[in-house]
Amino acid sequence: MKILRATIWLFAALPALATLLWVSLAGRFPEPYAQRRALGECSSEWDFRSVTVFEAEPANLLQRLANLTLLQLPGMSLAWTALLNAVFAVLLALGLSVLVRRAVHAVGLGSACVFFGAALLACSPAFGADWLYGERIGRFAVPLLFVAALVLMSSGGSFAWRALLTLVLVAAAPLFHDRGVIVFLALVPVFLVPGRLAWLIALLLVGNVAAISSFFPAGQLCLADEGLFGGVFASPGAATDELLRATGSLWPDLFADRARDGIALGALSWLLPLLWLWRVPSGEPAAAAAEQTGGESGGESGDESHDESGDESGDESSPETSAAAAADAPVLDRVWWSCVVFGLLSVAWHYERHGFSFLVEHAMSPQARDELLYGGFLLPLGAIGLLASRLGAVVWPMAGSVVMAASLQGWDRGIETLRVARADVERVEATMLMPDVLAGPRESRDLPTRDIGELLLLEERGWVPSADIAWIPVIQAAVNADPTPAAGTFDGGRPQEQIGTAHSDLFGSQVSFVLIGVAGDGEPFRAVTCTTLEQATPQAAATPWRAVPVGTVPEGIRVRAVGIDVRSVLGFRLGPTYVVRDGVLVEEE
Amino acid sequence: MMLRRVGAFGLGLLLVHVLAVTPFFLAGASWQGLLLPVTDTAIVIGVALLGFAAGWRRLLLHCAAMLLVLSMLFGALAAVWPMNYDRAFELSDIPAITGLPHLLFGLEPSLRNTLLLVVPFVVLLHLAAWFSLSALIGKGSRRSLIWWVVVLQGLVLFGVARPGFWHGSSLGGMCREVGQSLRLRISQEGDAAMLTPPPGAEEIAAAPSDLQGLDGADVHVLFIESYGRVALRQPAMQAHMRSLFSDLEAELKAAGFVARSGACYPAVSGGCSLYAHAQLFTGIPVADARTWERLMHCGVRPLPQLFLDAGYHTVESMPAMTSHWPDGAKFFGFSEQIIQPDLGYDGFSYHFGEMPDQFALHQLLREVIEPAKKPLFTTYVSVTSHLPCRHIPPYVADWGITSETFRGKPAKSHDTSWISTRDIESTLPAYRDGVAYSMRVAVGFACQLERPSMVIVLGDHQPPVKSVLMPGTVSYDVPLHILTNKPELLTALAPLGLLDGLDVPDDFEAFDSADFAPEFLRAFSRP
Repeated sequence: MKILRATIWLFAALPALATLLWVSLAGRFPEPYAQRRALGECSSEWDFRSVTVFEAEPANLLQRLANLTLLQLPGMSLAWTALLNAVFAVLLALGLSVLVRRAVHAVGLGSACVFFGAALLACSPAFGADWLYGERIGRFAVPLLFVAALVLMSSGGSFAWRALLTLVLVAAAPLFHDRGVIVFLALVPVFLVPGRLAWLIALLLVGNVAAISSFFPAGQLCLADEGLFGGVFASPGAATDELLRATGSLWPDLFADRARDGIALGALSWLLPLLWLWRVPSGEPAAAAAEQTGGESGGESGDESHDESGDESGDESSPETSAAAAADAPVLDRVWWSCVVFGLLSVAWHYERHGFSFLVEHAMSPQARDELLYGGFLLPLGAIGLLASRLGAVVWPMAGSVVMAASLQGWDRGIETLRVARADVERVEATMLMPDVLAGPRESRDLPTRDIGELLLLEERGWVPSADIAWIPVIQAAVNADPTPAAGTFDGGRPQEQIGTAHSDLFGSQVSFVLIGVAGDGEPFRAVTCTTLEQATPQAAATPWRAVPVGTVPEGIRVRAVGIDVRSVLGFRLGPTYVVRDGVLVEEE
Repeated sequence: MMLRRVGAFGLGLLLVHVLAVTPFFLAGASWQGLLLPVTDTAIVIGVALLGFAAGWRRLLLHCAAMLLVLSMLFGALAAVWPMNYDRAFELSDIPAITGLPHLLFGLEPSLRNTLLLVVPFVVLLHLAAWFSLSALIGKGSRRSLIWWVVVLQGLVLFGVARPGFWHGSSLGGMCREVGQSLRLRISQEGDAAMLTPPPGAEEIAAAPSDLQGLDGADVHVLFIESYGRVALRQPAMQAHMRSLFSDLEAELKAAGFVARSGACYPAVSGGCSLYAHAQLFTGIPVADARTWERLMHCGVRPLPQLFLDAGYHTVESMPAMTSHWPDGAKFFGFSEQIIQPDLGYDGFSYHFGEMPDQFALHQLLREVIEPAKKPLFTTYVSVTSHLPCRHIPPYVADWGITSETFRGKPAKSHDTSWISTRDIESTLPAYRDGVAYSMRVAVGFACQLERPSMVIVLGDHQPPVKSVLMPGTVSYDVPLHILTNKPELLTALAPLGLLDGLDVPDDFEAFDSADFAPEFLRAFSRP
């Protein structure tokens, strides 16, 4: 029986364990500075002395400290810091499962099922680049702190202590990520407890002050010309459509090829506050009953306690459990309200901060928005919770199954998103690690850091790979080897420009940059130029590359392409050998 | 009853708002802007509400009132400081507040006098804030508290949608400043020696410093308080100063002196003369107290110290100083420090430093220069041109000065005070006369010198009223004149690009006053 239980739990933990796979692909260089600025993220600092220096950016001090502290561990590198993202995501899944289990009073297989579902939401590969940069820890921290606060506020024990701890979490959230400023507002429902007005005021006071303080160095909130309100007033139709789509995207997508279901779900989400009119029956009589029968109540009376270990022996149909569930109902209803508010505020905050056209303006994929909205899955969870509070616990298995199925389906698409994100990350690595003799000095390339000095500092500390790689033997071996079709293709081109594709894969070895080698008759090949791949796109495993040698390759010269995998320092010959004849590249016979 | 409650509420709200918005009023916000809510108002009302809801009414009401007073005081300083000094206020400037008793009432700038002045003011403010907040929150019924919470949070969210709806937070600025100061303390681990040297320290260290090129000539540096280039550019002052220069050049010529002039720029404007002195003598731009602190501990050897090492007797005369400053003398390298009590002045009490410049310089001539056996390096920090330039002393052309000379009334008095410095009608003539007097005295002092001498006369910084005199002025330039009865010395200073005479043409390109010391050393020392 124990083996069966362990197997079930192991299976349930698979989505959570998968995060280790995602973060194993993490970037070895920092997230490009320019990209972080465009996204409105706080820049990174690599020294404790400058950790409080903020240049027109939100003061996400704890995010910087978390990264920097991790990097102090022996043998640490930037790639390893992404491990904390996985840990936070798993903790978030655990927190969510605790909340849902309290609602459904799940035991045994049910608990495993709940954790599996929560992990499907929180650990989805669809959050792409969020898994690949340790500097994105703040995006995971905000929903984690929020859920931790919900778990605290729905637990037993002294209300004062729980509320005090929650205030600490509220103050910490904006120091992790700019979206942390919405946490205190989203927690208002759980503080709307009769007789706790002082705590509500304290929540608002702490939340507002923490939010204002964290944005004080930024100078302004909105990164675009117009935020949410400006956008809605300027173009109500388009803005509403965009708003509904974004809100709908927080739900697992049942019909991936259709957009209307997303818009409908978005509209329904914004109508959820109407459920306020449909009050949950008061749990107080039930709580009294529960107390009489030795059960638990989960609310404002202050001295309640939940016995988690009791779940194993619990019985869903027992009168104690029913009474406890009834007593928990108002508390959990407030929790689900908080989840819904968090989801809706996430969307509103996103548009207020970034405006409606930032993806277009910064040539970003729609995935960038989904990555920014990590934690938005609390919205569907909250919606199910609210419905379950009103219609009965039966809603949980029904809606939960649909959400799980849709989430699983979403994982399939998420894998593709993660692959594209990995290709982007590797392009940054390739840009930095290409040989100087071919690509020019590194300071002339797109640096991921503020300047070359910062990059050299990271290199010196061993946090990023050294550019001192012996490429010559790798290139020589590859250019003289047989072609490796699985690595990519060389499709010829012109003497002024060579083209081809590189195969992109999520886990396997993949080409990150391409070298062009030329040779006269009987001469050895020598590399003349190198290039990184173009931007990878979803649903296209072959990523194009385009090399432009200095000058034109002369007539009669043989041309070969070599793909380099920077992570494993391996070279692969791509496609056949070409010869320049009559101004075009023709395949050598 | 209802009317009384509404009245109390309105009055409380008005008073709280007035206290919170004062810094923005001082910063020059428009009348419309003054109607906008202040972030700190929301914070202090929030704290007061929390006190009512939690049952800690008195305690948190006092906390809220204290926060409001802090907000107002820090905000007011942060608003006024840049107007005068062209830089942000920092916590390390707080000791400068001890100058308030002297500036406002001519009292000794001591901690005791400052506390006597500041404490009653702060207590009054606190009481006003306390009563206002009490009236505003009322008895704190549950319904009124909920209304407050909803309205305040609604206004905050409205501010998110409409940036600019709220004024900023002075408390936030204060916290940031405290944070920065703490960071500095932590980074130096409480040990001043851990401070990193300010940039520029290497240039003076690399310059030769035997000063043999001066051939034993005395060097006197005269800092003319608030003598900024605005004095030569402001249209109404320009003609006056040019006419004065013409007279002074004739005097110099008659005394066997030649003059060359130019302009340089310190890193400060409007005040903090000490930093300007330090910049000229160390070759390091000193813009703020933090740089000054780093400078004090970086081991740099200032110009007076190098003169001392070269066998000169180094003397500093500061008639505004009421007590000796051994640390300063040690840092700069002055072997003798002459301050107000040492000068024994017993005449008419002038607006700053008690005595006229001519009296102090006369003492320097008689007590230090005439009996000197060694070559001299002296520094004099003028007082008469210090704002508000209320009294202009008579100028004694033959320098026959006795203890009775300045017992009489000033030659001219202006109806100016620190409160009225933003009024050009009164400030312009006062400033013009103050600067002209100090310049006349400086040239007169040079003409009294019989030993081979070089007199460097320069402004310490632009006046704090430069934007009153010439709105939109951003320049930090100060005029610099070098007068000498050994004209060959001027040849070595050619790299500074100075021009003959006392006038500084408008198109003269000022140099960094931090470049002066290294250039001076290179000019007069063997490599």
